Amino acid sequence: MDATTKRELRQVRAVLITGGVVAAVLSLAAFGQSQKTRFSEIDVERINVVEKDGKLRLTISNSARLPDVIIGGKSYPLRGGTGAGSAGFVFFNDEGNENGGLVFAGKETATGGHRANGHMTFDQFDQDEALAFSYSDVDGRMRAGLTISDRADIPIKIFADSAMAFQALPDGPEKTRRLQQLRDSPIGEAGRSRLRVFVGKTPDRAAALTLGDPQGRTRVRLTVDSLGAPALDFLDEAGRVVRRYPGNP
Amino acid sequence: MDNDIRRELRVLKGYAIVVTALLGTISLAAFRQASQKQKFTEIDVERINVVEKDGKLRMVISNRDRSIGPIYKGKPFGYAGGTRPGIIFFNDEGTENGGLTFDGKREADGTFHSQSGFSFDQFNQDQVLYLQYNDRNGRRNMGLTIADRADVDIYDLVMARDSILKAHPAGAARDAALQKWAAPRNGVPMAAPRVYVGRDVTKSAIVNLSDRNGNTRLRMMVDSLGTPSLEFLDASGAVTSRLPASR
Repeated sequence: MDATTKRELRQVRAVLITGGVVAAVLSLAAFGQSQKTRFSEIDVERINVVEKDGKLRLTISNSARLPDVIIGGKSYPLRGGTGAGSAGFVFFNDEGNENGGLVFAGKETATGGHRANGHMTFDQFDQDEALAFSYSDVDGRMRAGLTISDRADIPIKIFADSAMAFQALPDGPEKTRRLQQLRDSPIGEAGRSRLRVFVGKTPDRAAALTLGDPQGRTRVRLTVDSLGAPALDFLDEAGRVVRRYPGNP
Repeated sequence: MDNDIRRELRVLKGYAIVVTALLGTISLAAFRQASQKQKFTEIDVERINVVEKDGKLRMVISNRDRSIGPIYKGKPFGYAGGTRPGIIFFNDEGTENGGLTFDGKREADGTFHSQSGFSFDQFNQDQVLYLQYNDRNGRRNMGLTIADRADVDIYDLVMARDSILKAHPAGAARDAALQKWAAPRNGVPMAAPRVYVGRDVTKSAIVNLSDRNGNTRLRMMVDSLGTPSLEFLDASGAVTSRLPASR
């Protein structure tokens, strides 16, 4: 073999070996990257934090990708009211059931008003909100505070399954009637909440602390109303004030 | 050398150079992309660390297995991770200062337990403001708690406790040492609840305001039978005054 050929061969070998080493190092580094990656900043529409087996633990999302209510691995497109149009975090427990959230929403309406809310909730196991820390506002009429509710000791799933039967109906009197019918049925108990504690401000511009009985009826109320009058009221089961402090001088 | 071999070699050399250059460029681009701003529609992840530029932890969002244990100035202490799915927050010192965690599990025997909490920690200490829901088979409480904590560094406290546990086997000596360890520091209890607003395990809706030693001195309540009351208590827990007053 002449000298030129030998040189050529050496060059080819050098290039190939270098290329191989570089490729190997970079590939290894790239694989390492899939274990733990570092970004300065990411834009994302939704992040699912999952357990190793793929089970959802929490989602962080925009409003369009907020997950439906999930109970026992099944999706229920039942989110309405304050849940609709919100973005933020939804949490799930070891069973894969939704058990809380931290969501925010705010929107100007066609009539020039607005609807806004911020909502953090802890759900009772196999049930719905037992503790809520929330702000809701419709055209400046707002309520903000801490709410604690008793929920039934039966799973919410039976209520959600029943509600699915008429979920597809358009909003209107028929749907409202069917929902009321469900609420009045024995299954309705599974969807009921009974207010035990509220601390916050109310739509009638009072600062208030109320305590309710296990049926959800307010029995003690500490308020400073919109006119600045402070009061401590005790109420009976029918909602009548039976004692008020300070008493008449 | 004949021309065929020479041509082959030239082709090979050209090929090798082009491929290597391409590979290098692509790989570098891939790495660069990772350090710039990226856009995803949806991603699955087991844990996200939000870090300062120097890598110091600011926030950890994770599933159960990868959840982080307590961290003090960047150092793990107390107990191992793996028990707190959710979000844990850290301050400028790299010390944990809050968390938002959600939990709930049914065991094989049908019993369940569930706990969710949102907490703010006193600097270099533990939670002083927290919203919490606890449930063991329907025995549950949920509410807002505001607490005082002694001005003692939590790291020193945990280290002192661990050394007591290491020095003494279970028994009277350990109990005595732990009791001394848990005693008030400079007259301030280790932890004293000052405000509680919630629903307790006796099914009462309740507001407790307590003194610096953690003794409830004012209690507003609607109990499980629906009876409302406002009570003033002395430091020993005896009711000294009660509303509504009987007429």
